[in-house]
Amino acid sequence: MPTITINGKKIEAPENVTILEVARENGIFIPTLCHNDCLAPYGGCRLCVVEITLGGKPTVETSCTYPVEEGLVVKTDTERIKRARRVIIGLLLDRSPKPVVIQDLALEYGITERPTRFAIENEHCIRCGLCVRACREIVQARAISFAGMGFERKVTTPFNESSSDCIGCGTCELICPTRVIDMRDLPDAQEHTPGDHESIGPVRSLDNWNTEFKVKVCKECGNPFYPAQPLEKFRQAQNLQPEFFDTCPSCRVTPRVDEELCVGCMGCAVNCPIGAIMMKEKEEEQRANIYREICTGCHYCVDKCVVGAIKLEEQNHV
Amino acid sequence: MKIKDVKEIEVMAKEGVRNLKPAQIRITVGSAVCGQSKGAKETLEALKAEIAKVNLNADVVAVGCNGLCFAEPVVEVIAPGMPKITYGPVTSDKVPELVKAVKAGNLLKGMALCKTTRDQFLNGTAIEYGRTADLIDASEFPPLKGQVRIVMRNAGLIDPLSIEEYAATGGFAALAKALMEKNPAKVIKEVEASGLRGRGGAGFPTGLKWKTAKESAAPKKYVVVNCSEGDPEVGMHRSLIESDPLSVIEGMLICGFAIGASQGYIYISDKLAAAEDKLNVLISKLSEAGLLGERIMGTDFSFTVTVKRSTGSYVSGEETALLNALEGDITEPRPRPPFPAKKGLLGMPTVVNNVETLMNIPAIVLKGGSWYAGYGVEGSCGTKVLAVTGDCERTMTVEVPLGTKIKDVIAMAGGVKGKKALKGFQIGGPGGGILSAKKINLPLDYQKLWKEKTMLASGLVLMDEDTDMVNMARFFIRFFEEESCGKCVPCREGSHRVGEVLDQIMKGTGTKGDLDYLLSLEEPINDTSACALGKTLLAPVSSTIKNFPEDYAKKIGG
Amino acid sequence: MSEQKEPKFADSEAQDLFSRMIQAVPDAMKNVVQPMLIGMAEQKAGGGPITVDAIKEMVEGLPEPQKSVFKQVVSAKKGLDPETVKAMIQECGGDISELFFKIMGRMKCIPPEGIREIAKQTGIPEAHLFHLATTGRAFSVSLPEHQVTVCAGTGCAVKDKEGSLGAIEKLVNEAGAEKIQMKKVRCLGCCDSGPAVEIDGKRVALSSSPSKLETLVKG
Repeated sequence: MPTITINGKKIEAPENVTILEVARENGIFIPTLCHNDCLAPYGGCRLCVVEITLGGKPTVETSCTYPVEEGLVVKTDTERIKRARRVIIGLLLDRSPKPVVIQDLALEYGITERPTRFAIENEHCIRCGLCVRACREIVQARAISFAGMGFERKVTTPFNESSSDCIGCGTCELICPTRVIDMRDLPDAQEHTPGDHESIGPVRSLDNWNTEFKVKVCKECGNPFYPAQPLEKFRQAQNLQPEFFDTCPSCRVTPRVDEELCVGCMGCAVNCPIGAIMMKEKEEEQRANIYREICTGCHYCVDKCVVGAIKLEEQNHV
Repeated sequence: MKIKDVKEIEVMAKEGVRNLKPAQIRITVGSAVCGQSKGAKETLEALKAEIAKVNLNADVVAVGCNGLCFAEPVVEVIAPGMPKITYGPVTSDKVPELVKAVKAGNLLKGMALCKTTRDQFLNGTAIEYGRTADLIDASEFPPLKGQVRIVMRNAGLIDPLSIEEYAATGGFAALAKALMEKNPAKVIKEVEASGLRGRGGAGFPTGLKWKTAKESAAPKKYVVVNCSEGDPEVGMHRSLIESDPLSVIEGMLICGFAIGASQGYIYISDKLAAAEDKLNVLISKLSEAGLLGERIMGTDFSFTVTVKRSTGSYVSGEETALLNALEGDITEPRPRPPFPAKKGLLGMPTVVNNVETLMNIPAIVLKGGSWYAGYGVEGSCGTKVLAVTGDCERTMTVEVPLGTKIKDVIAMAGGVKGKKALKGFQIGGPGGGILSAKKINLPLDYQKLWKEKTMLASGLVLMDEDTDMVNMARFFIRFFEEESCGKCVPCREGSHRVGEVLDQIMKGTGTKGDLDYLLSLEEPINDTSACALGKTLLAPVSSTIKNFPEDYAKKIGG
Repeated sequence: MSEQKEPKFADSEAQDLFSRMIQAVPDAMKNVVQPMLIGMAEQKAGGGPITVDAIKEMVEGLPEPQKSVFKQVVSAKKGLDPETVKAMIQECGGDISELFFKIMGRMKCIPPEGIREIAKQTGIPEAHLFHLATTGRAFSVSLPEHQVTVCAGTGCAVKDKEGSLGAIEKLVNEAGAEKIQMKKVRCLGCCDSGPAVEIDGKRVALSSSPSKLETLVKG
């Protein structure tokens, strides 16, 4: 358990953690832009820099990546650090003056004016990479990436064309700090880009990635529920029946256990991929019970039951 | 022949010596990249044809570059009874008269540069040539005087593709010694004692890097040679590898043995295609000779080498970005710590060494660390290879002991071209800024150059009195803009904005406030950048503002 | 059907060229012509694996009208069909960087269909391949009309007192990436004969390059 000092406070830190993690645990705030607890530390925005000393001269390092070690002395708000952060924020402002998160930082660090002779690109994307990293590390679809080097670096799909790897999950939109990514579910593609398509019904569009998905419509209730192309990918990957996604989760028939026939072997419960089946006691014997709230309607249990006790049943849609 | 025992290297060496001083005549043609660009290929072919025509018994061999680039194509003649004569430039049209003179046993005065009466090699072997010729000795020849050739010991001397000729001058003797002594810790002690520092510019103590890798417990370890040569002022690494590729491989093998690695990669820029081909040919030759692959020289030590092509970007020379590129990932620097010697390629301990650094290793292991430390000065031991270019009279590559004053290197290169005045020079690459001519008394010394806010990189670029330093600053900032990977804000955005300000200044619409703004960026951008590219981003600007204020004053409305 | 031993090709380039030539032969004649061509190519290759040069040499020695037909195939714009990509991937041992170099050598750019095919065959996501293709200095994803290669090493830049390098850059930026692409090489190691410029593969003096480029762009 290494002991480190942050802003004069001695802290006993766990092993294998970063300065940022320890600071946060101990109520010490360090600003960040490209950090997210669900993703591996990146060290791209450089806003989280702190001064560290380990027996020698102080150096400046990013707290989100630097591992703690015994005897580390950290200062998070020296004049040198403040000057460094002001330059970072200033540079971000020069390119992206509008996003709220940048304006807030500018206010916090007292930056009120910028050199006016530069062309202002006014791009909302600050190249923090959260969308790319989320798509790669969490969703693992890897549909978008950084292209180009230096100032020309952009986040894009290959050739800025519609992506065949995107699954329309919207994680990129959720994680973007400057709200530049826009995902919209539209009832009709005609509305979105008039004159561009014949009416193809509901679409989910991700303009930033030039990608549009026709949304699958439930054959029972007629409501659109999810982009069709990614659904088809899931279906193939999970080896589900061809008509599996023709109905939405709400309309999908949930199997029912015939308790007369059930012998309590647990074959269904053990094989349920989502753990929707519990064994309940009935008259001193256990019987399978399917929870509607959790069941996805994949029907594996129907096949698995050796005594044919699980049946598909019409469900009254409310 | 296949080497099955460490002692068999001596047999190979003897064969090589017979090549280097044959009973008949040996004529070598400097055929590395610089030679080729000046017609070395035509010269070689013309020599072969002419020799056949006049029935002269001679070997014609393509060798590497001995550093006298200004005199390319360089031809050396070793004839019985005569000293070794260095001729240049020997274009193909000059070949008939040269061959005529060689056949008659005469010296062709017009093209002769210098003579050598004796070549002494690392392993103690010496070749004596003839003594008399009315020509200046190589040791007194101004471009060569004062040079100490350790890294370049074989450059321009041996056929780069001949294992025998490499062995003749001491090649593989160091590896044989290390394998025979079976003491990896001793090898590392010698490297530490030598005081060798990374020659890529960072100057990190090599012995310490190797020791760290050796001490890190891991199932696998790697050796990586950094030859991505992204620096814009040198093609020198290309020349080194083309002239003596075996030295690089031997260096890798010794490192692998010392740290416990069995796999190595040579990361080489795509513009060094000729060098890459040579390496691949040699790798198969060496495997057949029992010098690479399983059971090297009949011992338990096994090592394989793979050549990987880089795309030549500057950032791919940054060691962690290089490792990312080798793994097929984004060429961006990684957060440090952990450092590659502890966690590098695929998370394993990896020594990433510059190609020039590794080429010193065979000599250090053969002759001992303290021998090496005898050259240079305290804190900066050994020698340094420098490509001297720009406004110099003689473009050349030199190898001098550390501690040599920059003005002495300038003298070797004949001073400024056209006898103009020197205005400034660059010794630290684009991140080393431009120093004023007043500083030519500075020695090639890591500590002293760091104190001057520059560093010891691979090239010395001379800039004469007609150089516009604002233009040069703009050139280097443009370089950084193009080479920035774009990961971190200070470098990606900063390089572009600094470029914009310089453009304004160049157009005549700059203000004094602009200069203050640029200078104010230096420390924060240095502090916050993720790698050395960003950290040295402002050097061309701050050094020129400081050292050449008159150039800026001219452009900023007075 | 007569027994035919498998011809050995030096690389995927040669194999692809040969198969395209065979495709140009009328179906009825394929059985006769193919073994003849293989024999001739092997002869030109001196018994070793058939190289692109051996095939080209063989074509030169053919009578008309075959010569013209095959010459057209040799000079036809090459595509990247799945078989070619498969062979290339195998040759490179799956190393994407090497693969890109190969494709650049063949097509002077890495086109979208190339990226799609490589993704399909290797399982590496298209987006990652696109990243690698747009961040490697040696690679390009678009093919411009003209290309100017300049040595932008420090040594050459210092000697460029007239500022021709800057003038070339300005022209290239104004003309646009589709018209001209500028490739900067950093120090080729022949500093004594610099500064070096090549326009569409031909060596040109640096001082006359800006005017030559202007003619090229306007004309």
